[in-house]
Amino acid sequence: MDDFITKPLKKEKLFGIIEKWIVSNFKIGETKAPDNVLHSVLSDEQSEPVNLKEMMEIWGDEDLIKESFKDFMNNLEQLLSDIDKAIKNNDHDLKKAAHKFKGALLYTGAQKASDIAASIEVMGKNKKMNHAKEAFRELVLECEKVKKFIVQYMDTRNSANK
Amino acid sequence: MKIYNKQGEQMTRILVVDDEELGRKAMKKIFAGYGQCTSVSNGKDAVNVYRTALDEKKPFNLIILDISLEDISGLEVLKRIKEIENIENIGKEQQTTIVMATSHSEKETVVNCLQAGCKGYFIKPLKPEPVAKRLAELGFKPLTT
Repeated sequence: MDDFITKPLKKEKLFGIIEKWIVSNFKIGETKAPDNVLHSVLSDEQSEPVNLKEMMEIWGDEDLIKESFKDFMNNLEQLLSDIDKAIKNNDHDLKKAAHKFKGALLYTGAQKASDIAASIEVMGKNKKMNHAKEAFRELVLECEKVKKFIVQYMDTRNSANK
Repeated sequence: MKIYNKQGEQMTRILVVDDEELGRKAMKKIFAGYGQCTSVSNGKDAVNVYRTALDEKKPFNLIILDISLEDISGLEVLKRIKEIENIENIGKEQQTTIVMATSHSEKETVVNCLQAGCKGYFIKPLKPEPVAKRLAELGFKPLTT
């Protein structure tokens, strides 16, 4: 055995370990890692918080994408605070709150954030709340990225229309 | 009672059930291309609206039903509708086609829904292209205008 990874498997951790081994193995042979190997590992890490191609497939045109982004931004704080409250009160509303948010994120093209919401939904469903706070922090961080992406998107589209 | 648009095309009566606003909006946009689209946000309303439409002899032809709702589950809504169809003795041809909407993480529930009589499922987020393909298989045609 060369290494280990703790369950549940997280993409970041897994990629971290893969990357470590790719880099160290190539060092042993004193050969440089082919750029495309490292790039494919890293590019997923750096992928956008919102998938615009997916948004186009769902909504079909830019105006509707903008409208859905606006709806999302308007509801974001409320949806997040519902999850936060449910975690703090340790109550059964967590599954519902996380499910609802997951849905909104799916129609916003925010796949990673939606995956995190889905994992919180499962915690709520199974009443296993010990990692819920951690996951919620992760969700908030990812939502910050989504928010930033949307603000930038709106800015560039609005200035392009002027 | 069938309804037609100005071009003489038959309008499909569609009910969309989803507890989340953006989801309802996206689905209404897709299904508006098939006829008259109504949306509700919970399971009890879904059953009530279905019942009322049936009583008014304007039953829904198609229901898109989210598997996970806030009050009663999509599976429960599906069972109640099937029960009503059973009690009212509605023949196979006149029955409402019900398609579930689900996310990847809930896919295992679909098996129970298929056993309860739904005609398949869409993975959320719903997109016009795959939806059109499945609806064509189920015999629903988009309006040309």
